[in-house]
Amino acid sequence: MIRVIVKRLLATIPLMFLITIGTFALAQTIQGNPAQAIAGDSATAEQLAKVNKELHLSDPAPVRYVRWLSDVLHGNFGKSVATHRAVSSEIARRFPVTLSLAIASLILMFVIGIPLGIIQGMRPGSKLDKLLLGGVSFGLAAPNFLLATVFVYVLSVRNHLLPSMTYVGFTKSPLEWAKHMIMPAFSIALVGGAEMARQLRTGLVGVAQEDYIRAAKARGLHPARITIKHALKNAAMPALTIIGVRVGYLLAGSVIIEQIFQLHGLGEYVLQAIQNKDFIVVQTVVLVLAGIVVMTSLVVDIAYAFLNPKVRLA
Amino acid sequence: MTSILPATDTASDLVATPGTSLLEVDGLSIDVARGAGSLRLVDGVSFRLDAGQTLGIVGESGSGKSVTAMSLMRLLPAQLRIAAGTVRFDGRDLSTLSEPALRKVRGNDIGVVFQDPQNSLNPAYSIGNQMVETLRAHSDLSRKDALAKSIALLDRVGIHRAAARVNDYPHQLSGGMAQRVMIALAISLGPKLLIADEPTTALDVTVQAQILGLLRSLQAETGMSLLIISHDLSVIAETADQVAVMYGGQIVERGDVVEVLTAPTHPYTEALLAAQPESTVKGMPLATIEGIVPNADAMPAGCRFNPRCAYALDICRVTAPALVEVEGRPDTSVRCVRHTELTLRGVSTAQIDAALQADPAAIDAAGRPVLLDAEGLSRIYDLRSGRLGRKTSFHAVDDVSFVLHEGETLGVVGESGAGKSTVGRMVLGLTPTSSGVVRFDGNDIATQRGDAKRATRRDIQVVFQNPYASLDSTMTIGESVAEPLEVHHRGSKSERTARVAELLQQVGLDPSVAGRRPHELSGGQRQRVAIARGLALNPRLIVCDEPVSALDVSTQAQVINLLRDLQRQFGIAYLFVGHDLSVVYQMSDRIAVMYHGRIVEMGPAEEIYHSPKHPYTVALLAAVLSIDPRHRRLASTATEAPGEPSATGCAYANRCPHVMDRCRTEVPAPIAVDAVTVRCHLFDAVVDS
Ligand code: SF4
Ligand code: SF4
Repeated sequence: MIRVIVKRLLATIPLMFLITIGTFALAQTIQGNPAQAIAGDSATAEQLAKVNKELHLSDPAPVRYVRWLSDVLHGNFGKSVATHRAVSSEIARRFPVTLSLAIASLILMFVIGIPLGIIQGMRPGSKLDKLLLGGVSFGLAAPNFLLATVFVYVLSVRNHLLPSMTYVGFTKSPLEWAKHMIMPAFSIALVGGAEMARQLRTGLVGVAQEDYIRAAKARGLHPARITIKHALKNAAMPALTIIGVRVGYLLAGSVIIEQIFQLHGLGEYVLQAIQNKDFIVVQTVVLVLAGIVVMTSLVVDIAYAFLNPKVRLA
Repeated sequence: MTSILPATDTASDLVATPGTSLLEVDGLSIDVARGAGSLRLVDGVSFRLDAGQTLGIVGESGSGKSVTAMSLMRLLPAQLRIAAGTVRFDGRDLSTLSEPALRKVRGNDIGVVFQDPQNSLNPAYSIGNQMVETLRAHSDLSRKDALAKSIALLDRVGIHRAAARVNDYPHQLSGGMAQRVMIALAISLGPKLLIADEPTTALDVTVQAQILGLLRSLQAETGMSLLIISHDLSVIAETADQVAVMYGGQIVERGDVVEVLTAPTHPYTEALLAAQPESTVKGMPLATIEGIVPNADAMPAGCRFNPRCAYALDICRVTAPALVEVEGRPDTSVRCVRHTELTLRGVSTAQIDAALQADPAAIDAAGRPVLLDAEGLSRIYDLRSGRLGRKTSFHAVDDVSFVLHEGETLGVVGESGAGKSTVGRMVLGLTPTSSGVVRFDGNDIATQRGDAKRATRRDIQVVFQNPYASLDSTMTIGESVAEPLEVHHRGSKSERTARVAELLQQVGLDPSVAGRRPHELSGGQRQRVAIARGLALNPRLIVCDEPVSALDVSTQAQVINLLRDLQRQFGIAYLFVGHDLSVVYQMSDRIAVMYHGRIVEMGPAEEIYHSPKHPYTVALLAAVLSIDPRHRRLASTATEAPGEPSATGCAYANRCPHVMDRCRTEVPAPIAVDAVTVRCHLFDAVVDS
């Protein structure tokens, strides 16, 4: 098991390296004229030259990339071009918001996906299964921004059931945190949860045909035990892999959702930065988000190895 | 012996009252949902099984035997349901028992062993985990006690170092080991009845003998009853007290195993016995049952066996016979309108003995020109293994040499993983050789190019085990057979059509099947098509890779006869790869026995069969089951699971009863002893002196 973990960890190093190249290249495309952006529209040619020199903007791209990479490796993300504030402190301030949203969405995704998947998978073709299949199809099709807008309107604006437009730290009040998080998180989690339910249902229906399920039944095990222990672990494997994929979507979704709920997270930050042509912020935030995605798939891989002895004992 | 098997109160009850019926099945019918309606798969099956006895149910594919067995504890897939009948077990009707009550019976009172042991264990949990779970589901053993008991059970079923292996996962077990684990699981709670559904079908011959011996020894120890389902008459002959022969979803004959097999009263039972390769003198055509097993949606009217029955009269096509007691034999029941007037032949000792005599028609191939000459063939795969990912190599085929003369058949036998199919693939050029040369007609096939290469490709054809996989489902039969002709630009379109018709006729098919598609044919018919396709280019050698393994006995006999006829007619040589020694013996002039990549013994078929020399050949022959229940060959003893092939010296060293010190270090070289070649140190001395 340890060997598997170490192997997967080592495999992420070249991947992260490729991602830094990707984000750097991406940031280049939105630069426009950064010196102009920094110095302001009324800047003189002299001022522009000075900015250029300070930030080494006229160096060739590979040179700037290597410099940036070494800065990043030293924990120095630079300063925002637009606000002149250290990117790292801004990220530190906003990261908990986005992380909260991501974790809350993931939890909700499980809460929606697992029971629905199990209920459907245990009795495929039943009335309940068909009903839930309809719900799942809706969940897969509903755009999250629309969902969010409807939630805000119905639950906050009309009925004042849930607060919106603010963020309360988890450490301050877990209950308030949850109240504030549930609408945005649900908006993001519905698609993922629906997909998970569908995967789990398909997985369970497939596993039910396996010889070992019949053999477990022949040994007189309780049906619930057969489903929860024998079927679920095998059916969970394909469902698990989609979590890795989903986290990427989840973060992408959070950019829009943070706007709607006015949460000051990384999504909002990166959106502002793009508007300001603030390439330093953009490349840093994208790098952080990509790092989160890579770490999640690492965790998923390890969980997969844990579920599957063939991988674990390889 | 202090038994770890629960000498439960129930078990001792049973021993105290032998001869009482434990299981009584009456009028059991099973339907499968088909569109809006349903189709009857099993029709009015009745039998009883007494405490401590063994009942064998035998039948070909589609006879309904497995479905019957699975229905007893209601383990049927969702589309199937019990439509009528009762299943009385220990005084209760299992067909109507509530689910919670039935759950107590499952595992506890009745254990099941399935056909595919590796897939019957959950891959995600260790075997110990699954055993402990089962024990604790039906008893209040502590986790620790349950684990200790699991280890003792594994030890009892012959698993070496059980305390360590209890932590293994299913994928780490061989098929034989997995079946031992399944048996340990099934008997762990001391059931009164063990149902074994084709328990050895997926296993090698030697492993089959061990598993059946184990089942018998467990039965002797616990007094449980055994219900064995098999397509293989010899499995039943070796194990059962009572037998039920099923055909087309019905029991056609039922009774004491010795009576039924030695003096059958149903024509199907007779035909089934006659079709066994053991029943025929070598070189003579095998008895066959014409036609194919009927489908549930096209059951013949009247007697279901009538289209294939050699004794059928007009009355058989209208009157559906009932299962009735045979006069003067209260133990036997039969379903045939003519049973009182017919005298049928069963297994006879004289006949089996005669069958083992030397083949009078055996050809002396030595004088014929050599067609194929394989020299020092090896196929080595590099593997990474161990904690450090160290490179090791695996010899799938190791220094294999043989010659094949024109018109001769060389049989290659061995267990799965012995490398026999790989040898066939190397001859075909489908698997590259790591070293060694294959010469066809004196030419190294690896160096051939252009026309010479194409000519060799034409001359060597292949027939695989699974004809369904080797025929393209989108092509008609005619197109499939014509394809090799087209590839090699043989004849005009009309000439090809004529040739296809001729080929289909040669393999015993009506030329009209040319317009049909593979799925419309039966397994045996598809195999005939595959043979016709192989014949299309007038090959001089056909590599037959387990060509009859997937077929029912009756069909198997037809295909064996066909292959032999074609050989006689066209002088084709065969490289015949198989795992069933009786079949390979029937087919071959010479036999090569492979173990773990090497040919351990090779020589004339009679010599190998009658006076085997290599310890592995001896073991292989000892594992061949008898179809005569009066002369059983298996001991009812439990043996330990055999050791893994040894990596150094003689690969058989870990299993060999004659192992010596030098066997562990020195690879034995091939030695000529009498007419055979043996690779074994036991014969070093013979030659030295
Ligand atoms: S009833 Fe007729 S067709 Fe059927 S087995 Fe008897 S003789 Fe043959
Ligand atoms: S060489 Fe030794 S171990 Fe191998 S078969 Fe002969 S006696 Fe047995």
